[in-house]
Amino acid sequence: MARHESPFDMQIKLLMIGDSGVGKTCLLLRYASDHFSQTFITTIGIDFKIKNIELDTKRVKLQIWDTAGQERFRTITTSYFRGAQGILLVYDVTDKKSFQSIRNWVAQIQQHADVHVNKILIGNKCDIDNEREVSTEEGAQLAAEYGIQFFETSAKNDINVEKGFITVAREVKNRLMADGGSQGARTQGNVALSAPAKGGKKSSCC
Amino acid sequence: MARQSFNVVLHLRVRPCIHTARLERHHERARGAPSGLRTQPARRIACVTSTLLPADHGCAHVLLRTNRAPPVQSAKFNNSRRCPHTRSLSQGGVDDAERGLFWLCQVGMAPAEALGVLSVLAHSPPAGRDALFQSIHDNTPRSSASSESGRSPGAGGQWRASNPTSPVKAQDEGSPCCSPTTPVTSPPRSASRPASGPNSPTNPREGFVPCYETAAADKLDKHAGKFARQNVERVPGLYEALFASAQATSAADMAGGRGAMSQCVTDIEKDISRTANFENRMALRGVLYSLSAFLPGGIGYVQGQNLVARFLLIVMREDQEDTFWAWVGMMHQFDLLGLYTPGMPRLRLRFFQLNRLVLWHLPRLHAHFATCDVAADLYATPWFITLLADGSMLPEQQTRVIWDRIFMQCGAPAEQWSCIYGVLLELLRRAEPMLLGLARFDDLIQMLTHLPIKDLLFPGEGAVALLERAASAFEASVPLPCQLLMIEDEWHDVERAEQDLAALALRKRARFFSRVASG
Repeated sequence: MARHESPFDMQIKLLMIGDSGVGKTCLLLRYASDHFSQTFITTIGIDFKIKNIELDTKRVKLQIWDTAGQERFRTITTSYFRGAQGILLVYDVTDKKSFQSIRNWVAQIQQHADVHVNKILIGNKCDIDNEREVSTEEGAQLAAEYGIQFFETSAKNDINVEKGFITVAREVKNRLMADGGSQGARTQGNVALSAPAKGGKKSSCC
Repeated sequence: MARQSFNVVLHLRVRPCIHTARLERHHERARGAPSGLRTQPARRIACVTSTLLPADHGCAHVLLRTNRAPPVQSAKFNNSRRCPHTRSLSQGGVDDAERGLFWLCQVGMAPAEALGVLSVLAHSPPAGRDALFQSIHDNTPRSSASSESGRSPGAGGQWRASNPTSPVKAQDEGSPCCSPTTPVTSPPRSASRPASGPNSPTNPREGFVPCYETAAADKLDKHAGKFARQNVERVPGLYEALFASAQATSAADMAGGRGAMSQCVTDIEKDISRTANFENRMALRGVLYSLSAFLPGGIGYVQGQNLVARFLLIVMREDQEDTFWAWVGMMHQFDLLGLYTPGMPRLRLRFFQLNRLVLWHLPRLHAHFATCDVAADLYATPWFITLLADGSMLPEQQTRVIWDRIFMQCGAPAEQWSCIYGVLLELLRRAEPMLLGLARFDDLIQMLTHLPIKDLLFPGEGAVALLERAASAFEASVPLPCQLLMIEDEWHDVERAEQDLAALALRKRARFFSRVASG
């Protein structure tokens, strides 16, 4: 509105984390380019996609980061936690282990991400019901424990994918608007290295 | 052309990257051999030499043909053969190469310069080698050696004109090649380095043999097989044993259900099912399990290894044992262990090196990256982890050519990595105008992760030409491997400084808390 030359009013940086093989890349592919590929690829390091959406009359540019799930790559991926405004915690409903490590991932967030970052819990592959190892109730319970929203999705059948991304994006947008309208127009670099990041570090060591 | 000391050039190359406080020290270092060569002279030089002179290249014979090469006498020099890299090479070639180097050093050349000469020799056709060698031998300054070398991509820049003090300095460092008793004969001499040419990609490549492009890709199977069979010291029966034990563990894991599987097995199984364009899953499984069992504890499997295994299996015609041993050989050559260990320390070194090389050779691009917050780990991780085998950077055919070069030269880490860096730098150089035109962070990353490779190559051009161009553009004064070694040294300094800072912060904090505790 204010700046006509800019194609968007607000830029939001989202990050997807979770164990390897839970379907982070597939979710992103489904959401950003609306297709599902049977030949999956391993994400080595870090990757991202852009999606422009309209959110409550605001033009929002979503910058969605997709990270490697393997623990080995954490030295690279955790450095990108800082500066993320919303985080999607993804697990696989057919893989109990990936659900159990969500706690571990939340610890990583506390250690490396901004304090006020918005989170959402995603249980992917809900189309494979006969191999399910994590029930919807368990997922909802964990989400309630952390006080965050929860969705069960399927990148393959396009269930709840958009809803998940939009929900966390809206939470981030509302938070930024509440913080002060000017914050939304900030570039991601500013947000990344400003005071909240330091605050997060302090709280973890004291 | 103005006579210019090799060492001064070296100094100028180093300069842009250091803070004023460290300038002095680097200057001091730069006066001798490249710093990387001085830490462990015997070892480093033996490694780099064996690298620069492939056993079958025959250039060492050119060096020896004058019958002036003295017998290898120095005890230190003989010790250098204990280096694992040289040991794995065929004996004859290494001997000759070492003798060649020894001889060059005896006539007064500093080790680093001798290495430079050898590197030129190793990559030039016999006629060029003869000409260059003759010029060194005669001690006569030459200004236009490039026309005789038959390889030149352009007019040869002056490679070196010695400063009389420099070779003596190199001796002081305990160089294995110049024993203090050796009389240094007439140090000032010059040799033209044919590889330094103009940077413009439009410059036609004269004297270049284009048929090598396809030949290299076609012969990769042969060279890689030869590498796996001859250049790696195989332990008979080890592969079968590893394979059997890995099979047993994975079977036990799987029997226990998904919950009981070890992380390594889970990761391998996941990645096998998503390795595209490869049917033989059994072979992939065999190689990956055996390798994870072979590697020291704590390393296991790293994502991206599946792509290397896939590529190697295709090259080796799906022979699992050859693939395994070729990979073990590459592990030594590329120093891959540090890339795989938890924390990935060597990967950070690779980023640091890429960053420095971009700063030195493409300063405008470096500044642009810095303003846009683009760091190497955002785009270069898969290139390094998979050694370009992931297909994101180069099409498979081009990667084959680069790997062929790697298997043929079978050398030390710095030399092997220089092939990868050379290609990366050359492509970045060509993409520079496009990249400078992009002001937004996301556009830059998109472009870097999906380089429009077709637009960057000239019609009919392949990876060999890329490597040639990279050599002419980025090795004007110092061979790329030496540059890499220099940066590695700097990286160690930076790391040490960071550790010191962290220790200091810890001490400060401890003092603070003790003060608080004591009231």
